[in-house]
Amino acid sequence: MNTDFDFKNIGKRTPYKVPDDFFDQITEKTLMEAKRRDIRSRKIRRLWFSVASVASVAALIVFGLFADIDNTGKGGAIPLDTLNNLTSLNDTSYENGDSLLSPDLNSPSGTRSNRSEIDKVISNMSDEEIKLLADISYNDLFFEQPQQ
Amino acid sequence: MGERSDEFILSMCKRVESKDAGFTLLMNKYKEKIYWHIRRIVVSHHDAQDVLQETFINVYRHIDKFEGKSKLYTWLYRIAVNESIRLLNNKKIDVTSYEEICDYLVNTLRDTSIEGCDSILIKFQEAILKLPEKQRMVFNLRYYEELSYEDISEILNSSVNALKTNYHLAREKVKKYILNN
Repeated sequence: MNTDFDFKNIGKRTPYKVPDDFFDQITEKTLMEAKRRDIRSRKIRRLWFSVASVASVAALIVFGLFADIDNTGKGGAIPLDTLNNLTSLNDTSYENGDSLLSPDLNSPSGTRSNRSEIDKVISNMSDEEIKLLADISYNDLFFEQPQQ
Repeated sequence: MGERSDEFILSMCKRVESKDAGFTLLMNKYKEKIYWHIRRIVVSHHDAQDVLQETFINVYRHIDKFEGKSKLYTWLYRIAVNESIRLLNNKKIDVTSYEEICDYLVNTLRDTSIEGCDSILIKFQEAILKLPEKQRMVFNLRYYEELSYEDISEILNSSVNALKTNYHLAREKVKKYILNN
């Protein structure tokens, strides 16, 4: 049995082989793949930004709605008649088969003011944002579609 | 045309209009060294190709953030080592232990090595593949790449003294394996 081993006998040789044209093609292939992924990640980032913008607008609308209701009451409480009006409005709307988003000119002034605020925000939104908001609402599991 | 300096390549990569040309120079300069380092870790050509691509795709995506605190090639080796370990860890999902990973790598080595090559070369690689992960990394970077312990320390995030000890242990284990098999 040998008792010594000299690393110089091996040197840097390895038993591995590589396909002939591998190193000629790998740079171009990798650059193409890197650019493809770069474009994809930029698209995803842009989409997230759009969704986040629309979600922020939606959150502002909801926040504005409740803040306005809250301001009509004294000491931060929502007055009972406002709640009753809201409840009756909802009932009437569903009974008549109308959408809650349709303007109701006969509703109490507080609610009418909320509607006009929503109208104002929506009129300031671009077509794309409105479409995206509509899509989000349509795909929301908890959003009840009005009955035809 | 001579080989471009790392500073020149980096300055090209950081400008939007010359990023692709800079990346091509960078990859042409380092692809073979990085490939062989990866190959000695993951063994199969197919895996080495995947890891090499992932390594340079990461470089392409993050080169803007490279501040030059470390050398460019130690940064490349570091990404390559991390990507190689990630690939081996993914394989661990299929097998249960480090020994099984070693066996898998040794079998791949036997299946894919050059036909009729000197059997001592296969035995030598087997000995390296049977080393613990840290010793294997140090051995490859020191023995094949001839990097300084300071550079290896940057790549493996380990102290120079620990690396020297690991390299010495690795050499002894390789020698013992060759003599006993």
